[in-house]
Amino acid sequence: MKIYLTLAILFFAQLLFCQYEPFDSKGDIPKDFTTYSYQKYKKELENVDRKSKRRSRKNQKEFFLESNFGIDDLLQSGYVMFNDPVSEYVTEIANVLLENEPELKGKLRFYTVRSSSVNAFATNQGVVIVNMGLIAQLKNEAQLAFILAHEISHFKEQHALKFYLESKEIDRQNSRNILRRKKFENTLTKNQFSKEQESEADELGLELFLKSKYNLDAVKGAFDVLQYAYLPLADVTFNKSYFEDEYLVFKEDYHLNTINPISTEVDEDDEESTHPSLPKRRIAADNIIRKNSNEGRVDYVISESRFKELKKRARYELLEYQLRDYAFYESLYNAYSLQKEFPEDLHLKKIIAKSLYGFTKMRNARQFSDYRLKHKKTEGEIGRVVYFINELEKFEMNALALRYAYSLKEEFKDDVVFQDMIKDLCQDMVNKHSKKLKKFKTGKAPNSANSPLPEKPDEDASDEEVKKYEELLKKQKEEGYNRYTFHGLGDFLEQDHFNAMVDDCKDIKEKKREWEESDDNNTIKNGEFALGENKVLLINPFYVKLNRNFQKQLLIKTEKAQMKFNESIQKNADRLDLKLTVIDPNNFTKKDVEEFNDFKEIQEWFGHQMNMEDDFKMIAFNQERINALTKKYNVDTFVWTGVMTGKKGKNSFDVIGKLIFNQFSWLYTMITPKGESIIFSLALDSETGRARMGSFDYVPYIDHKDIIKQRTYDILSQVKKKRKR
Amino acid sequence: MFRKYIFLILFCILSSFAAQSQKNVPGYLGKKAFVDYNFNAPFLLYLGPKWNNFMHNVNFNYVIRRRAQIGLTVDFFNLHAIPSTGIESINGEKIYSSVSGGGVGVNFDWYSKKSIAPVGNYFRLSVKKLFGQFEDYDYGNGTSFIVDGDYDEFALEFGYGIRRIFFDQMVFNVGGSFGFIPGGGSDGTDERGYAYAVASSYIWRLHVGVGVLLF
Repeated sequence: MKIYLTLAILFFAQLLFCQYEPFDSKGDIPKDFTTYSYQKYKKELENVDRKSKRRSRKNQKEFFLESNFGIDDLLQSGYVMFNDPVSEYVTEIANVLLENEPELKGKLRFYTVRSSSVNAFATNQGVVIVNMGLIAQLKNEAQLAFILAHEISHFKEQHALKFYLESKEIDRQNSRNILRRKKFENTLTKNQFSKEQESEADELGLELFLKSKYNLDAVKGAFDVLQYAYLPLADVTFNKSYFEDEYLVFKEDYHLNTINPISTEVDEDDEESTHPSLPKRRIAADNIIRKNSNEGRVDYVISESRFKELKKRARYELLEYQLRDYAFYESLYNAYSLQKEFPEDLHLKKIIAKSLYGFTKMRNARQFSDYRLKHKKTEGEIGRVVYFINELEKFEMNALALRYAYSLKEEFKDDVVFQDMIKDLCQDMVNKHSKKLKKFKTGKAPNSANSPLPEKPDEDASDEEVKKYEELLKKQKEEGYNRYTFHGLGDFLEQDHFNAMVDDCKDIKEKKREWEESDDNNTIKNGEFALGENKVLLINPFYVKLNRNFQKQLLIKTEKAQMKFNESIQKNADRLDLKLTVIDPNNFTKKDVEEFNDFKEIQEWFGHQMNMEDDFKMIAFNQERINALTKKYNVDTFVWTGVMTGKKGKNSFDVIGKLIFNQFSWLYTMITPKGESIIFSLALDSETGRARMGSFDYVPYIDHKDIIKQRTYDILSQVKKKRKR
Repeated sequence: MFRKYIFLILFCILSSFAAQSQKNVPGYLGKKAFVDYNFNAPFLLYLGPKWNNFMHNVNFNYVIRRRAQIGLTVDFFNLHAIPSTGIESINGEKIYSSVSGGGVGVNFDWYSKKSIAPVGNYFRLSVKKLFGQFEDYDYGNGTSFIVDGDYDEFALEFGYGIRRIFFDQMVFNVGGSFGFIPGGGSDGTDERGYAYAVASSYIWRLHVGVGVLLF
């Protein structure tokens, strides 16, 4: 009995210390994800209205082509989940709404997308996608039901198709009357049409919603959620003291005293928007709701506990997306606010450490400007976080991140990636702020650290008073760091382990240089590589065919070429006796759900690595999961490769020139179409993200089979080849 | 004297390239050797009878570097041309000088930056030993008679071409080349004069070839 009790306590303790449980797709992969876009397109062609005008038929075909390929791009991106708890829950709610419409129910499929934005949308093919950001922000199940009803109405009325056809018609008229109509007016006309569709979806969605037992107040609530979608998950008071202790103290003026209040005003002018303004939507909805009774209606039909559990998980999930998108202010503040609810959760502390790490790396590498927020443009308490982070000097930021992460060292002692992050912060501190680091002192910060700023003299103060004030201010700034941040590592500097780590970081530049000169460096002469790998993981090989002059992708040809390309790669790997595990979203079968989830991780990781530059290397935030995949597939190199190819337009001068100067080249030009191809490859070390191989070959021909085969063989042979010592 | 050894010197240079063959030599899907036959239309085609005025050439090539290959080349031909006197007919009947023979040599092909041997555009340098027999009409004394003899000379040849591979096996090749005998033109002997004429006939020699990948 005691054993069971202990186990139960341990189980709940684990829950208490880590609330995060990532979402993943489960079960069989739905057909939406595995059917080729071309097949979907062919099937949808049956829906073309044969009685319509020729131009309209052409536009309908175009729409089916673009929409099928477009939605498949999203579905195969790895970011859309199926059979996950949220998608299942959303499907159940939709089933409640569509209880009396079995035919419509049969046509719809519901998925969730890993995105932090508050949104949901429906495609013409019956796919309804709900963003995780929406789930995290909604207050109850009824609000979700209303939003689903709205999206279902979009599908029912085929709004996407109608909008496309109408837009084409507006464009056509515009091109004919180019002198009379301006482009801006053209956009306004389209927006007007879109607004009408949105109003119609609201109205029809409400009709559907009213047939259910859901609480009518949810409609108002859903509009509130949309109105405040830009805000963080909660508005919790933030003070810099959160990061302070007896060693690390920040200047008082790093704290923002006055924040912008959360605005309750809504812009009623929707002329340039595709959606009607929220007040208009509220009024229209109110007019319908008023005629109906709210008696007996409830917030939850499926399950309250399930909604709350999913919402909690969604909020945690959101933090991961925000880290992925380098939205560090948001991830930091949201994790901070969640800590009020789950104060002992280690995962939240890890998110905060990662956010601080992200800030540090970006600021040290001068890559911060694109992601920098301005506190004056924020609303609510997040403004204090923004202000605090922006006010910190670079070395203070680094010291804070290092202190925060190092203090969690023991909690995450088995987490290799977390330990690497600490070392990376230490390296930055040593290499980028060496002068400042020398000034760091042992011992606690002086008690007087937070002495108030000198009082600013009045406008009519004498010159002497102003001068005195300025001198005081200058003196305080000079002494400031001594009194504040320079004690920030005071306790750690007394620890042998920390000092050893700092010493180790000092040698890193030398070690890096040695490594570059050593045999481990895979680059051989003339930009050729020899990785010496027998087994690699190839991720998402792509083949893009472009039209003449490279303006547009040839969707159908691309898909067909993609299939042949994959075969060609596999054959070349066999020729080289290279074990190749291919994770290709275009070729998943329904049983490949694991690969589907793995693809998302690797895709995200590659995306991160592609953002890195020589001077800016940051450990990927999903590196832990990538390390697990490295073990799973028993590889240490991930390869990504692809081809982009297109025909060139005829150039008469070129042809005549060749005719005169080079007869056989002219002959060649005549028998082989002109074009350009780019063959791209990138191989990354799965543990460090270091590029082991990268090539960007330009070939002045279209994608001749022999050239493409030879190039892919070449890439794989460089992967396989061992460097001669 | 230098002329006698130029073949040897160039052969050594080319062989040293071969000796350096190393590292990443992908060839075509791992295959580096191929043999091809080229059908050549020399400039003499326009001067002589068009029905049989062609040269033939067989090449064996081996890719030694990422953008280079070395090979053995064998030419054979039987060409006809307007006689050196410029007289095209006697008693209304067309007459031609003729030269038949061949050449054996080594070639070295450099592929353009955007190519990987053996696919793509290439520049060729080859060193050949030419040999053969010639016949010519001489009206120098007012009566016609035939001058004939043998020749045996070294020649340099430069070329440009495009090579492609179909069905992973078949080599297709188009291009052009020209050649000359180092040391200038005729030194006064008939043999050299004719050898030079033969080498000169390589100018604007255009070729189309097919072959197979071996290993």
